[in-house]
Amino acid sequence: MNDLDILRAMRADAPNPAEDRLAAGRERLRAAARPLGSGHRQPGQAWRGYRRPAYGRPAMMLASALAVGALAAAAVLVIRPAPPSPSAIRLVSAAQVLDRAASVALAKPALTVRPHQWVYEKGIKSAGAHSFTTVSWYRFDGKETASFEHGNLVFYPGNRHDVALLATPEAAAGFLASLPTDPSALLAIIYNKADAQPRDQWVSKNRDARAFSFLITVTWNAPVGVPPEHEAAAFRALAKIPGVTIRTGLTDAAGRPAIGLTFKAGNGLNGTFFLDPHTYTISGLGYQDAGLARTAIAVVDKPGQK
Amino acid sequence: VTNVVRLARHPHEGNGADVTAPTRERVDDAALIEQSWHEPEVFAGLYDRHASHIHRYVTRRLGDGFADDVVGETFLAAFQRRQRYDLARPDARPWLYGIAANVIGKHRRAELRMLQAFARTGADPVAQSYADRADARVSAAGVQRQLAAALAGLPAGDRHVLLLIAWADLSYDEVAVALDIPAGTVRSRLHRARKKVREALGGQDPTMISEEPPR
Repeated sequence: MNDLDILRAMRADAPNPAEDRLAAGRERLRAAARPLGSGHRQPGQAWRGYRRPAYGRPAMMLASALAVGALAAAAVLVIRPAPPSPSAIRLVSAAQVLDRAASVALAKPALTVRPHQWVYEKGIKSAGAHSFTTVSWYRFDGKETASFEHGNLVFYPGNRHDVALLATPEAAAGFLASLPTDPSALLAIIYNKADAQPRDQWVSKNRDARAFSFLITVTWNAPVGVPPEHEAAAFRALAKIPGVTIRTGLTDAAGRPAIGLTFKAGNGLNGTFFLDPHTYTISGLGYQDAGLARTAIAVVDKPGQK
Repeated sequence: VTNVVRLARHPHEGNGADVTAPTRERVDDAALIEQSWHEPEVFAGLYDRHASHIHRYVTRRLGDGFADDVVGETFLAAFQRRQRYDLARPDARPWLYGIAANVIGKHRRAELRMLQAFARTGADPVAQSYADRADARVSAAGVQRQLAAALAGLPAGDRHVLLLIAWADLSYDEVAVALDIPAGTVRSRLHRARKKVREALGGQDPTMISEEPPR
């Protein structure tokens, strides 16, 4: 990988603009073009009175999840039980897939993680044609992160907003553990949470889309430390959200086969979460041409340990 | 793009017979621009074709908050200059990126501030603008802080050359057209910029970055 390749990877996850972001510019151009047959106009004419339109940030939650994902890490090593053999039954609906995920979650041993323990995560992040391996450690409580630079372990303070955003493993796992294990009761709380988000952070006008995005993001952010019955309840609740669909035959950012879990098209929510077809854990996510795959995880006592 | 489809006159078709007959043929940018001399609204076809990738390029350089305005200003400026477009160039991308570079240049200080902040703190304000705050810490794990510092230290012209090649995928000749400089100048600027980048990356841990796995 040469210097240009490294440079190409920088900010390579910058998104292509959503159509609504381009509409205003096109309209300005049309306004400039409209009045003239002669091809001339007052410079700046079309600018006057122009205001950047208010627009939502579709998929902000997913974009956020994409970002958080690399922090929050998932459980595959150490914590996960040996994967069951692939199901002989072809799972065709989201409900079936998620029910299976719930059963697998229930079979896992409970794991208590202490706040000062660290989550080791290895992942593959792809953006466009580029991908990187990321290796990081995060304190369970989110107060510090660490990674190797020049062979030295370098520490960074956590973001103080992450706890409130349920973006630390501890906050996300704690939130899920605080919910009822009855899927319908759980979902009622999720809908309330999704409704309580500021409008400008809505991923969609569709309540179901917001609930899906909220719940799956929190689940993704809590790769370790969720009591099995609560993790199972989260999957069962996801299955109850209208519009949640699966796509089969996908690959994640690491090139592994994956079942895509997404919201039905047409609601401004284009992100896909990936389920490992054997372990039914959330193995990665993809958003437009960027993706993130979790390839290893462990709870360790000190950063640098694997 | 309906505007494009309407363009039907071919050089060999003689004196304007059947001018409005639709054609499925993809019309190149130069033809579109020429038509827009007389039918200004046709220029919107150029926007539909190129605004998206320029928007992404601007987002990458200045962040999400600047992109809409910079793209809008770029195309308005292009529209105003459309009669000076060199019709011998079928692809308008270099021309548009050159105009975009000028508009981006108006925000040079903002760009430098953000690069310097990234280099200093490991949190990239540009990445944060489109991907929410946490993404920056992923970057911090890698070599990109040194890269940000190197980019901030480049002369503006060298930075344009380097990023048009690395991020906009323009060729040397296209960069020369975009920035209206000789191809030899593109090469010397690129050489200089890459040397600085390599120096900045000199000590990076190669294990932090790996090649893309085969798909």
